[in-house]
Amino acid sequence: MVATTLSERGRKLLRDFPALGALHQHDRRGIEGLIDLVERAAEYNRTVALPRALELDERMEREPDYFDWEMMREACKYRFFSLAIPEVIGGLASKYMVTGMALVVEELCSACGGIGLAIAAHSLGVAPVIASGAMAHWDTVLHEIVEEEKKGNPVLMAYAITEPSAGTDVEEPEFLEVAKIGLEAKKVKGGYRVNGRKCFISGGSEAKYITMTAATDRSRPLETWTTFLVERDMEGFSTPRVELKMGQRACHAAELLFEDVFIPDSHVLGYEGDGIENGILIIMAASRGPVGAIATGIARGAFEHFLAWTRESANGKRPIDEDRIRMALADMYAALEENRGLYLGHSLGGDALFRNAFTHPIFLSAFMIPRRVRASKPYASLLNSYYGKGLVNILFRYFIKDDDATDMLAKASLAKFACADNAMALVARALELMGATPSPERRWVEKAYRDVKLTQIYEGTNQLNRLALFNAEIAGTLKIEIPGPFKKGVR
Amino acid sequence: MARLPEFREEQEYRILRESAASYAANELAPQAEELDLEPAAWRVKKAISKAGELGMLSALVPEEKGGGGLDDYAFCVALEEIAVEEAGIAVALLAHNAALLPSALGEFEGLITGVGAESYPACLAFPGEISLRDGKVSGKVPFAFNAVDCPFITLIPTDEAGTRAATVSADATGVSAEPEAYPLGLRAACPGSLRLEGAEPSNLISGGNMLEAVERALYLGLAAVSVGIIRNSLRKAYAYARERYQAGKMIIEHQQMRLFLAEMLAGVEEGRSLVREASSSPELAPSMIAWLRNTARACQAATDGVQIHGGYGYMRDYGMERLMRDAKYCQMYPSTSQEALLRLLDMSETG
Amino acid sequence: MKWRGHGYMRDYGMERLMRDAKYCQMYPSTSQEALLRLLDMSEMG
Ligand SMILES: Cc1cc2nc3c(=O)[nH]c(=O)nc-3n(C[C@H](O)[C@H](O)[C@H](O)COP(=O)(O)OP(=O)(O)OC[C@H]3O[C@@H](n4cnc5c(N)ncnc54)[C@H](O)[C@@H]3O)c2cc1C
Repeated sequence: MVATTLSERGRKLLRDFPALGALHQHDRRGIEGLIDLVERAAEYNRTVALPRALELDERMEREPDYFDWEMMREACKYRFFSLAIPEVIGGLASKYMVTGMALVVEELCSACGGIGLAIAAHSLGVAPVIASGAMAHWDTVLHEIVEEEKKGNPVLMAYAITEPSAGTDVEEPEFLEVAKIGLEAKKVKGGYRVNGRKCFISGGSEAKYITMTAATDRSRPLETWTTFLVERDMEGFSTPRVELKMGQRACHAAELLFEDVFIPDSHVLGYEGDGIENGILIIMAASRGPVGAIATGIARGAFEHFLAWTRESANGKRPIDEDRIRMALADMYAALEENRGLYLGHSLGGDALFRNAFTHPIFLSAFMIPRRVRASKPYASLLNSYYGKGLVNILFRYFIKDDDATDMLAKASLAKFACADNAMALVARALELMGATPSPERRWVEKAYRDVKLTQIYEGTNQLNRLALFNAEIAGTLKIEIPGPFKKGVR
Repeated sequence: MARLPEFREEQEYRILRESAASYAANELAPQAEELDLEPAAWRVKKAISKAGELGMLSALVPEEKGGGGLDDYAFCVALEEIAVEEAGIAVALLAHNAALLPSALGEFEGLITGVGAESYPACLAFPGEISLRDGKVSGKVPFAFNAVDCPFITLIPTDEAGTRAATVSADATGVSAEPEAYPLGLRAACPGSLRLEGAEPSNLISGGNMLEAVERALYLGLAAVSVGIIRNSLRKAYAYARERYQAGKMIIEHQQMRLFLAEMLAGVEEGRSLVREASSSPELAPSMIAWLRNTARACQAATDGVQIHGGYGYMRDYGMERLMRDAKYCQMYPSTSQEALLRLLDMSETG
Repeated sequence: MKWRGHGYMRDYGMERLMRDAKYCQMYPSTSQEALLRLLDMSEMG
């Protein structure tokens, strides 16, 4: 079935993902674009990620502040920082943006969960700029990322929602309503004054731009939750510390400190007060599938090292010749297939949702205006104005319906927790079967064991993701209701 | 803290429990993080030296031979209490005592040297392929605890049907030890590999089935250490679940958190019973069963403990992720769980 | 269930063990109820 002109990696991809194999017959170019992305990731693994993964992981236990900029500069060559940026501004996000993201992330994480996260966290940071339709920043911030990337300079973003006192609470409206929120962005003339902390922000200490959600009134977090664009050199902003993590160490988890930081009105993404829907739920609906792919990638890496171990011979005996090891390999393979089905199903669905908006002529026509004009101040203030935001919003909401978004959130949450749990079980079992035998492979699997645990925690704990699936799909009590156009101010 | 159901024990064990717990709280708890991050030999030796007062430096050596003279259950009680604070030190002590076991059981050939309570922590080179030929030992041991910076190594030659043991001074010619490049857990117990090439033993010991005695001690001891890890997970996670608020209430009020904690509670009880049973049986099988169940429980308890801590559990400062790493190593040594299972059935068939 | 298809047939008595065992697990309470109660009891004492 699979075309023979494809590379070996490409053919393997279509075998691993039969749905993509089927799609390939209808949309050759689109699917081959995905194959191309995965091939790039595989090449990056070979040349950059694999040679440094173990050493970097160990080094960052001793020197948690160290950051390997070289691996990020190398990633520029592969254009991994443009994965979520629409083609109209020079990025790589095709009609398969979410799927492409997920596939690349699985590939990268099969080499190193930490390096994969460092790259993926950037796109997570980009996502709210896109999903909120904050086009005023597309031709400045996103354009800068693309242009600098071409020169080999990583301009990075990060996504900050978690606060020291609120982790689970910021990911679910029902909890946010009663959450104890510490950070506040108080409305002042021309913008907001921000005080407080965010914690555990992946890539937060390296990012030049950070998309952040925050309350403008701490006593009413749900109603006043708002998405902001933070710039690293804003006065009063700092990243005082990074955590010493159990795994995925190549990517920092940073604390962000805001001391009287002024954020201008122009840096509100979407509307004030629409942060839970536009800044969080819609992002989670897109990103939790790819987090399932992170888990799958780490598990796949462990599987490959485990498989290599089963072929090593100790005293003339090879584990793979034993029945029980073959059974275990089959189980692990099945778990990987199951995961792929889950996250691919979600990401193709997500793409179907976004694709219509991003390929619509009205949308594209906005980019016929010369870039010079688009990047100008007056144009930005037009887009940032009450009517400007409303128009973009109408267009987006025309394609992205509440029900579809809710459904996508349910599927994404399902993919996230199921993939993470499967992956955790797979890696734990691999180590259990290897025992303390001396093998270079064991160290990789031990690293995977530390790396994979995180996938049950971030992007909402697996408990929260189960609740999201239950509420959105089974009980029907969680509905994403994206605020309509021309809605201004706090609800 | 959630109160554990009373575990019936004789007075002597209770007293030992208390003193082991206070040793662990005073000597180990304050440096538990360093013992994981920088388990330098001096730090480990210093921490272990104080365990002498508990009789834990020669626990299984009878009093008439100058040892601590603890029975197997008492030994397990002490290991459990120590593992509540630092599983790595508990395993270092276990390996040390297992290395002394042959000299406790057997008859020496010649003068016994280097085998004293003060030479700690000793290494038990097990499992491995070891041969004793012309009075010299050779072979490879892929993974053992206290592998580096130990005073002496105890070996059980595989070609002697396990009835003889040898001790070799760590600095004897022909002995080389390599620390594990980057151990996942139990770092204070210094995992590593050993190679012996015609090394001259300082002592030869012969006696009953040394191999089985040593194996039994390892399985049983690690089963007890695992109970300590479950208790530590329960203690930490319970305390955290009562201080952390989400959705306007303590997270311990969320049922899923309660189920995690209850599993740990049940795990402690079940684990202790298995250890108690196994320590009163001279056979290998009950110790293997205790090890199988308790290590699996400990891995689960520590993983759930991290989950209860959310993002904080993933960070070193909270001391929770260390338990996950330590527990996993308990499950990977001295055999894999499937190997132990298969052997259990084999043993049951041979009667 | 180890005896391939035979485990499924009545005359080997294996399937009965499966059914019986399941009832033992469901009575006198569900396992989750028992776990939750365990923790409750430990907190009261
Ligand atoms: C390495 C790392 C990287 C991260 N990167 C980012 C990032 O880039 N950006 C970002 O914004 N955040 C990031 N996070 C934060 C992450 O999303 C949170 O850690 C996660 O949402 C959990 O929140 P918490 O840590 O506060 O745990 P809590 O919310 O305090 O949860 C503790 C425990 O209670 C349970 N629980 C809480 N509430 C409920 C409930 N209502 N019902 C049932 N159970 C409940 C949880 O499941 C968990 O087991 C990162 C975290 C880590 C560890």
